[in-house]
Amino acid sequence: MRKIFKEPLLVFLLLGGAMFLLFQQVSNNVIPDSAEIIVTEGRIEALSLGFAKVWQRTPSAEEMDHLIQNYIREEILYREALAMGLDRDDPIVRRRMRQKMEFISEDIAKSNVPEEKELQAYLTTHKSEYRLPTQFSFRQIYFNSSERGQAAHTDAMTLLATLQKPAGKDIDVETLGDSLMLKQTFRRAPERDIARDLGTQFLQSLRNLPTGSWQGPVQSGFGLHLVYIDERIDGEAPALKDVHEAVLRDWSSVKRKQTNEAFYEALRSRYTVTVEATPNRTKTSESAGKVSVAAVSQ
Amino acid sequence: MKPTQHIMIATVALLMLNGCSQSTDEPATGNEQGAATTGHVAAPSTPPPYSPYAARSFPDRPLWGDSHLHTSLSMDAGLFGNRLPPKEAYRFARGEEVISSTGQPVRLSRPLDWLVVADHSDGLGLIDDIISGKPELMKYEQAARWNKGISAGGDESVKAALDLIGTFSQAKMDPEMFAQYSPGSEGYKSLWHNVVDDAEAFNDPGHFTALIGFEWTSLIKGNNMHRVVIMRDNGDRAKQVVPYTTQAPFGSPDPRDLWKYMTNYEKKTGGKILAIPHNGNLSNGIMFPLTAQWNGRKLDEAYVTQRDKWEPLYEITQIKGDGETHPFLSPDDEFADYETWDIGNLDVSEAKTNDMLAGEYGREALKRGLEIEARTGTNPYKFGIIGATDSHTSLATTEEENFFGKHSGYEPKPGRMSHPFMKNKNGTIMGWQMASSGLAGVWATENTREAIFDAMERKEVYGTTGSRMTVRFFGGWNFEAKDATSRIPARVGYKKGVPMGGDLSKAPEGRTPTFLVAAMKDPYNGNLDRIQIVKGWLDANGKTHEKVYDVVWSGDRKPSENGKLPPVGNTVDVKSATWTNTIGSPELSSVWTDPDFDAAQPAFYYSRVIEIPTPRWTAYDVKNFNVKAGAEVPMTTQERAYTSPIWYNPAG
Repeated sequence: MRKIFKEPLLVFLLLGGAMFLLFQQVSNNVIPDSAEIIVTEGRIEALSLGFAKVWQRTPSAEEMDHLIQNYIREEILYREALAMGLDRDDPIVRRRMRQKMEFISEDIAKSNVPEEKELQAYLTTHKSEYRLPTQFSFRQIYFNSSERGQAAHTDAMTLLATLQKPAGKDIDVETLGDSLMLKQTFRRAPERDIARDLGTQFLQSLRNLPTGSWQGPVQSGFGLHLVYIDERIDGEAPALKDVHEAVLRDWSSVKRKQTNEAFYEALRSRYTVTVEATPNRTKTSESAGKVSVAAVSQ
Repeated sequence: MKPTQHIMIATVALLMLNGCSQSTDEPATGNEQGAATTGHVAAPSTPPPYSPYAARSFPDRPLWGDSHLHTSLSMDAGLFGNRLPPKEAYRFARGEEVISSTGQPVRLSRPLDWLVVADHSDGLGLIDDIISGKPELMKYEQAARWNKGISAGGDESVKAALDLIGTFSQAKMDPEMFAQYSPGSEGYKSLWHNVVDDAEAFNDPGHFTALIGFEWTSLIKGNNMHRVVIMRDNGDRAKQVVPYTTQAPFGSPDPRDLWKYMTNYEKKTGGKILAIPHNGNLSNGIMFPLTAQWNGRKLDEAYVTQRDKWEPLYEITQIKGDGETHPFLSPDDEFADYETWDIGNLDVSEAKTNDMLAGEYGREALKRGLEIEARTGTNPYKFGIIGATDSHTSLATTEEENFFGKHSGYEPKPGRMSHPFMKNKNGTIMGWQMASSGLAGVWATENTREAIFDAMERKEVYGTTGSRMTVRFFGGWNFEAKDATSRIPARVGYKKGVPMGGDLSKAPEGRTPTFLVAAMKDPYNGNLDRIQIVKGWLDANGKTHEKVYDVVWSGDRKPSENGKLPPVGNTVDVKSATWTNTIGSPELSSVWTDPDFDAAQPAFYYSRVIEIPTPRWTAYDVKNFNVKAGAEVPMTTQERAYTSPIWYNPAG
C-alpha cells in the first residue's frame, strides 16, 4: 500500500475517478437545480482580502456591499452561462481549462522524489553522457601551408625524420616550424578544447595517434602539424557522488516528461477517438482502453 | 579609490612584474619616455617571482560570447513564434543540441564561453500570457484582440503581431494592463527573479559564464536608442532591483534617466553595472549627438561625463546591419559598404537622409568624441568595440552555414531570403539583408562574471562579424619590427605598451606611436586577407579626419599608385557553397608606426582584420533549399574583426 502512495499519478487518477462518479450521481441535471446562492463567511473574507491587496486597505461597508453584489452577479451569470453551455466553444475557456489540467499534471510530475538506487540505475544506463572527457598532453610543431605551399608537407616529413631519432624526444619545439599564435604545448587539454582550438579534423587524427613518439603531419584548421603525445588520459566513468547533482537534474527532467505523458495517455485511454475522412486523408478510429494504465508506473 | 582604478592598477602592476621577468628584453616604458599606461603608478619594488609562469597574467585566448540575446520572454520574440525560454538559450550557447521554435534541431560548431540573455524590459513576459490567453488579461480589449488574432494563425497572426508592436512603439498600450508587466507589480518582480535564477543555474565559473542583464529598449518615434544593460554581480544583488523600462510612470526613454537608475543600482547594492548601446544605424542620427540630444537638450557636462562613465562599449555589428562606417562618411574606404542598413529608422517610419549618418556610425562617433572632448574636457564616445547577435530566436548563431535568422519567422526555410523583413512607403528591407553577425572576444584572465565584466570596463575586447579570429593589438612608443616575429606577441605587447582599449599620452620628444598587431584565423573559417589600422584625429582647426592604412597582408601583393592594395581574390564556389584556403594567410602580424603623426593632435587608432571571401549565409540557403536569388543578393562575405581603439591624448 505504501508503494501506491509513492506513485502520485496513480493516487490522482484514483481520486479523479472517484470524484467523477460522485459528480455524476449528484448532478445529473445540468440546469442549476438549486436557485440558491449562499455567500459564505469565507467568501466574504476572500473578497475583502482581494480588495486589500489592490488598495492596501480594508474596504468600507459600502464597498463591501458592492463587492458582494458583484460576486453574486458573477456567480449567477457564471451558472447560467454553464447551463447554456457557453463554455463549450469558447477557445479562451478551453485553453484555460487545458492549462489548469496541465498545471495539475506538472505539479504531480514535479513531486517525484528518486531513491539513490534509481539515480544509480539512471547513471548506469547513461554512462557515456557523464564520462569525463579524454584529455591529451601534447606538443605540436606548425607548418604554414600558405607560406610554404606544397613544400610544407616535405618540410614536415624531413623534420619528422630528425625528430624520430633518439634525441628528438626532448627537443625544444619553440624554435621549430612556423610561427602561430597558438600554444605549442598543451597540458591535459580535454577533447572539447582541442576541437575548439584546432578543429575537429585535428582531434580525430590525434585520437588515432600513438603516444610517446613524433607523428604526423596532421591537418588542422591552420595547416600541418607534427605532434608528440606525452600523455593520454582516457575519460573515466564517474561515481554517482561526483555527478549527483547533474544526474538528479537529468533524471527529474526525464521523469517529468514521462509522468506528464503518462498522465495524458491515462486520460486518453478512456476515449474512443474517430477522426473523420477528408478529401486528403482517410478515416481513422481508435477505441478506448488501447493505452493501458499499466504504462503509468514505469 | 574607485574599484575600476583598483583593477587597472593591479593589471599594470602585473604587467610590470611580467616585464621584469623577461630580463633579455628592453626595460619597460618609463614616464620620462612618455606614458603608455592605463593609470599612473610607481614601479613595484617586489622582485620578480622565480616561477616564469607566475607572472604570466595575460590570457592565452579570448573568451567568446554574445552579449545580446533575446528569448521567448521578449515581447517581439514571442510574437514571432519564439518558444524557447532562457534555459534553452543557455543550453544552446554552451554547446548542446536543442530543437528550435520551428522544430529544427540545431547546434553550434563549438560552444561559446559566455552569454548575456538580454530580454526587453518593457512588457517582459506579457506575450506568453497573451498567447496562452491568461483570463485576468483577457478582460482588456487589446489583449483579447491580439490573442484572437494570434490564435487564428497565418496572416491574421502576423497582423496582430504588427499591431501589437505598433501599439507599443507609439506608447498606446492600455496603461492598466501594461502596469501588470511593469516595475512596481509583484508579477514583474517574480518574472525578473526567474530570469536571475536561470542565469544563476547555468553560471559555471571557469567553464561557462551567464552574466545577468536586460535590454532597455528606448525608441524616440521609431529612432533606435537601445541599450543592453549588464551587471557584474550575482543574483543576490541583481534581485535587489528590477530592470529599468522606457514607459512612464516607472521608466523613461531618456538615457539620462537610465544612467540615474544605474547610479542608483550601484549605490543600493554595492555592485557594478554597464550599458552598451547598439544599432545607431537605425537611430536616424540621434545615437551620437554632437551638440544636443534629440529633444534639444544640450550636451552639458552631466551628459558627457555620465555617458563616458556608464557606456564603455558600443555594439558595432549585429544582425540588423554593420555599424562601423558608411560609404557616404568614408568614401575612400573600399570596405566601408558592409552589410549596410540605411533605409530608415528601426520601424522605417522615417526614411534615412545623408545628414543623419554622422550621428549613427561607430567610426564617426569616435571622431565626434575627440571634437566634444576639445570643447568640454570629456570624451563621451570613448568606447571599446564588440559585436553581438541581437538574435530573437534564443539561438546565438553567427556561422554563415548555421544561420537561424533574426527571429523565429526567419529560421531556415526556402522563402526567407526573398521575404520582405520590413516594408512600408519609406522603403523595404528584405530577408536576405539580415547579417549573420556578430560576436565579442574578451581578453579576460578567467571565465567568470567578474573577469569578463572587468575586461569590458577596461575595453580589452573586440567585435567580429561572427568569425572567431584571435586578434592582439598593442600601442606604445618602442615597438620594433622584430616584436612582430615573436611567437607570443602578447608577452612583448603587454610589456612595452598598452592593449586595445588603453591610452597613450604625452608623446616623448620626437617619438611616434608604434603599434603591434597580430591576428590568427578562426580554425573553422577562412584565411586572413589583411590587417588594417584605422586612424581618426582632430586637427588644429577643430576638424576631424580619418584614414585607413593597410598594415600587413597575405601573399606578395603590391599597393598600386593610388596606395590601394589589390583584392586578395576569391575561391568561393557559390553553387556548392564552398571555398578553399589556398589564398590568404592563417596568421598575420606586424609593427606599424604612424607615418602622419602630429604630437599636438588627439587621435585614436583601431585595427580591422579582414578575412578572404567565404560563402555568405544566402549561398547556403540557395544550395540547401535549391532556390533562386536575385542578382542584388550577395553570395560571399569577407568576415572582419574590429578591435577597441587605443587613444592618443597630447595632454595626458
